[in-house]
Amino acid sequence: MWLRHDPLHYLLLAGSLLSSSCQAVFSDEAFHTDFQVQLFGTALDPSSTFFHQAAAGKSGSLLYTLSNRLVIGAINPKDGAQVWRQRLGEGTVSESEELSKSAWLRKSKDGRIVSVFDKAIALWDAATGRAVWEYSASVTVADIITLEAENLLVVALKGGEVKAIKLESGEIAWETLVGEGRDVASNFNLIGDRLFLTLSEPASTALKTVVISPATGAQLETFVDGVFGPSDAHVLTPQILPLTAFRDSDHLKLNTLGTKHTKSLAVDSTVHGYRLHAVTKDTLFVEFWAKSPDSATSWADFYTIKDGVVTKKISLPYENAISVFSLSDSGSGIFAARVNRAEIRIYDTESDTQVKAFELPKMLPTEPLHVVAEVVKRKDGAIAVRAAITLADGNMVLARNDQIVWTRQEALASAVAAEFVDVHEVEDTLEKTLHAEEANNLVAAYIKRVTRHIEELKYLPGWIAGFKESILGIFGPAAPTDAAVTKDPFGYRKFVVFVTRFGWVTAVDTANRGEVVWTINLGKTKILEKDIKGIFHFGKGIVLVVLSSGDIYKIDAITGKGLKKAVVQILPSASVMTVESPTTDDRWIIAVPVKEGVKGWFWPDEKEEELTKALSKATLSRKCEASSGICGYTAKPTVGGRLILNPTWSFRLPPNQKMVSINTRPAHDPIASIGKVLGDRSVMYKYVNPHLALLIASAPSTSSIYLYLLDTVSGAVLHTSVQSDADTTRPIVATIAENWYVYSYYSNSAARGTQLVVTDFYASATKNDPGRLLQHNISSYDQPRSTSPYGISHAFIFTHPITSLATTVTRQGITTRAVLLSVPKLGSLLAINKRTLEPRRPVGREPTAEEKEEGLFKYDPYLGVDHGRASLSHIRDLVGIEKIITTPSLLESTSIVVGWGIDVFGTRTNPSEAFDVLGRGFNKLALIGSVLAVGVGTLFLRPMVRKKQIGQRWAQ
Amino acid sequence: MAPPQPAWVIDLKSLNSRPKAPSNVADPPGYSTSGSSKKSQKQITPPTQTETDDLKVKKAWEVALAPAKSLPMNMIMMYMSGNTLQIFSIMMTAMLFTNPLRALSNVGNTFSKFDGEATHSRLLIVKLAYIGLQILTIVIGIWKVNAMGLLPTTRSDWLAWEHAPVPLETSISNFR
Repeated sequence: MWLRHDPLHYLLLAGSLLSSSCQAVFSDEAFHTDFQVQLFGTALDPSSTFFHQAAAGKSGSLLYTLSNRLVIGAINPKDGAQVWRQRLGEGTVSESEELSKSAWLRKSKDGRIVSVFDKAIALWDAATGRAVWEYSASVTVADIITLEAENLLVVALKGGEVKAIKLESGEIAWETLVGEGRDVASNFNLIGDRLFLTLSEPASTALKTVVISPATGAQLETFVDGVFGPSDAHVLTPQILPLTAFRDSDHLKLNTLGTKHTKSLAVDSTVHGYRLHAVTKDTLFVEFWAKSPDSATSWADFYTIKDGVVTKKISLPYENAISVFSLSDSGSGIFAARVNRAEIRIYDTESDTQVKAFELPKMLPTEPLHVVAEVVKRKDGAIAVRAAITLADGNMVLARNDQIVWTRQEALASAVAAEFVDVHEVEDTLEKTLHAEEANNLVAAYIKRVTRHIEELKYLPGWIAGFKESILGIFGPAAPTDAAVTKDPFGYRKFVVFVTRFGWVTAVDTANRGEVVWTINLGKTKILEKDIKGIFHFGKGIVLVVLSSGDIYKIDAITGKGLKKAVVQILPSASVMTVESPTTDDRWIIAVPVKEGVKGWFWPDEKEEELTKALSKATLSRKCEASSGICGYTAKPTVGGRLILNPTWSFRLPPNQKMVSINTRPAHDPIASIGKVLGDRSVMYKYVNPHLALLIASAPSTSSIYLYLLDTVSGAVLHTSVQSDADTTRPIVATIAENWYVYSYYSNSAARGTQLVVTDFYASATKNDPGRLLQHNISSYDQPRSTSPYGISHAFIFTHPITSLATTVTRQGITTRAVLLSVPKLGSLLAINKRTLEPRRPVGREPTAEEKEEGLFKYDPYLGVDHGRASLSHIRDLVGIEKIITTPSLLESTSIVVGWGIDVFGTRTNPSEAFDVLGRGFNKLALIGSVLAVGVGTLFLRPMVRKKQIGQRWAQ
Repeated sequence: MAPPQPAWVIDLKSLNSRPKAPSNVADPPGYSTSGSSKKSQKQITPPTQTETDDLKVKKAWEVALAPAKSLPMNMIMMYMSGNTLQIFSIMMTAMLFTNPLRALSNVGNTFSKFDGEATHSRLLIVKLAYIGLQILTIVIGIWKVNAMGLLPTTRSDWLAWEHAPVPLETSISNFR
């Protein structure tokens, strides 16, 4: 049956037959074709990042950190490699200031570290990252302290409850309630053998301190330290100090514990931020900085604490520049390290002049955010420093003296949007060039071709180098070549452009292990997901980042140069989309505001007639206000870069339904064959419609989810389905491509668990009936009910929750699709072939011969995970993959997949096996050897045979 | 006009005129010149033209019907060889086409030896039967090729040339 098709089908079938028994990733391709950028995220707070000995008695320490993505872990300070990683919670990219109040990381004894996030406390083995124990409190944790002598971890909960947990076992040793549950606990301090807990009493606006016996938990004494007004707030105080700190709007107040003595420092806290540092109990170091980045200032003060009295010792110089401080006890003195973009300066407690300055070889790419430094004074008086600097772009840098040892691209863990850019777009594809040559007259074409060949000479050195490599590659594994100089014949090289919440745009190279190619600052300090209107392709190698503020950044995606910055007055709620001219290369972005009767915008404000043409047959659709549905508009450009919008249709959800997501088919989603050939060689015609949108809504009141398949031109509802007994609080994700969609939700029905439902749409229920598929001039507006698509569904039970779904895309769409699943519980990215997720699989019986010929096999509701076959990430442990994006390569068999969230994972996948490229296992040596052998053999045999023939002729 | 008689016929006919055996050599015992010559005289009576023609047509019929004998065998072989694309089944199927086609192109030659002025018209039906049988063999071949799924007889065979028309409208959306 298949011979009658295109030869490609032939190849494909061969490939897809293989795929059923083959691995998702060949072992010799693993770690070569895929990459993983292991990330923690940006260090949250300097107090939660520290150098610490991994095990008692071991020399050398590791760098521990807690990130804004709630990942804790250890980094080897020598090379920046990850030692271990654990996730505390499923955090989104949220405000780090807020997060640092509820999450922190502390040293504990015996090579342990303790983490706190909200209500959860966990003790970790510092060397391996194994959890020793975990404890979940009933309310948010306010503070914790390790009591080394008693071997206890004392925990104060927000409500005033204090619990002591045994360090070895995690059992409760004692517990007590301070106050009557009305007080708000904030800070522990340990002085000698007295444990002080500072609480504020909101009712009586008093700040009080309770002394607790570490051994028994008995409340020994209670002091009322002073007035704590409603505007006052606690300042995180180092636990080693005999102080508790709080602030009002213009003072920092330092209360000596157990006394009424409070020192008040005048600091305007609306203008300045400050942080308390201490490494010994008699020195307090306060770091100040300006809150506004425009008027950067920084300075710091040393205070000594003697007999409960705080006195200022010295002030480090005031500078009109951002610098950050870290305090370090070297064993032979206390040093403060001051870091700015250019240098690291070391101060001691004795004078306000630096004792040592290390100038960095290169300016840091941006201002430092905070630093953790270790200063060592050698016996000969030389000073060495090691500083882990968190930069304002979200990355972490380790500087040793005047050298940058490593940089970790932690900002990528805070990406809020990502888009593929095709590097090949820039070079005119050969096909296009040849067509252009054909169009010319003979002489011009000849000149053009010669110039093209001369132009292509630039690849010659790279090609020769690559040729050498490929020759050497025959004999052994090829060394990775620099992708920039050699041509990339298979189109594996794509850039992924990320916008991070730190206001930077970063591109990574998929062909070069996710290395950062370029990075550029947008000049915004904070960008959240809601601030991004989109990253758009805007012609060859150009991306456009549009923010809700109306800022438009035009960036050359290949070099990372900012080409243009424009500001358009758009409403923050407007939806931004791109329009391409059907005839020319012109593109525009248009913004469609949600408000009725408000004009839209288009940019650039030029070629209005072209845009009019481009929009004449187009329907724009966006979410209606308050996500209540989808609204469709037609648009007509008018003067001043404005658009006249006419609402044409809207689909609104009933009030009890809440929108979960809207999915549309991928931008590049070709359908190679418009029908599916059945075993009896008849055809089921697919429902082909480029305007599909799948709207998923949930109704928590009835615990149902609703799926609406809409036509975005006419707004017609093409198909609906309902799932009752759904858990609407768990992730509901979907992907749509070709003529099918797949979605996943958690079902509370008898088949409890995550369910994966696939629905295929056909033009009609009968075979060989294309419906109106092949008719020309059929408008989307002209869709009687009789032409609604015919949908078939199958549901599968999956073992783990799925947080993200995507589908592979290939150049021509001939290759079978694979559905990509992000499964955080497994730490994997899985690929399930669409042939498995096939609604036509026979239920409850073996397939007939015809069905077998079609490639169908018996339906099994349980969709087990076969890691060998399904996992694209093989043995890698992926953390926090939240979104999956795919793009085609130049090879039909291959789709490029990148998952991002915290880690960035990229790979190439061949859902129908690599039918158009030789695998790494192909023995080139044998091939070349046999060709050479035949050549040499011919060389020898030819004279012999000739001689014999001549001899024969003479002999006749 | 009857064709000239071959030399051996003339020789046989003029057996009597053969010079007598030398008289000094006696005939072998039991050999009777007169008797044998009498008998042979009767046998060698040349067949009439009609008889020759009948014989030729009969022979022609035998040639013409030969393919019919191989038809059942071909059918069984084709049935047994299965519908998979293997070298043997492909070769056998190819033979089903090449042999009859070759035979059809050589119909004139095949029957030329039976052709004569008198037999020409009678051979026509024989030839037709022969052609018919060869075509029947080809039909078996076609049946076989169809069974192998090589004939574009179903809808799916034309699917690769069917394309959905470019939609009239375009849609632009962003649901962020």
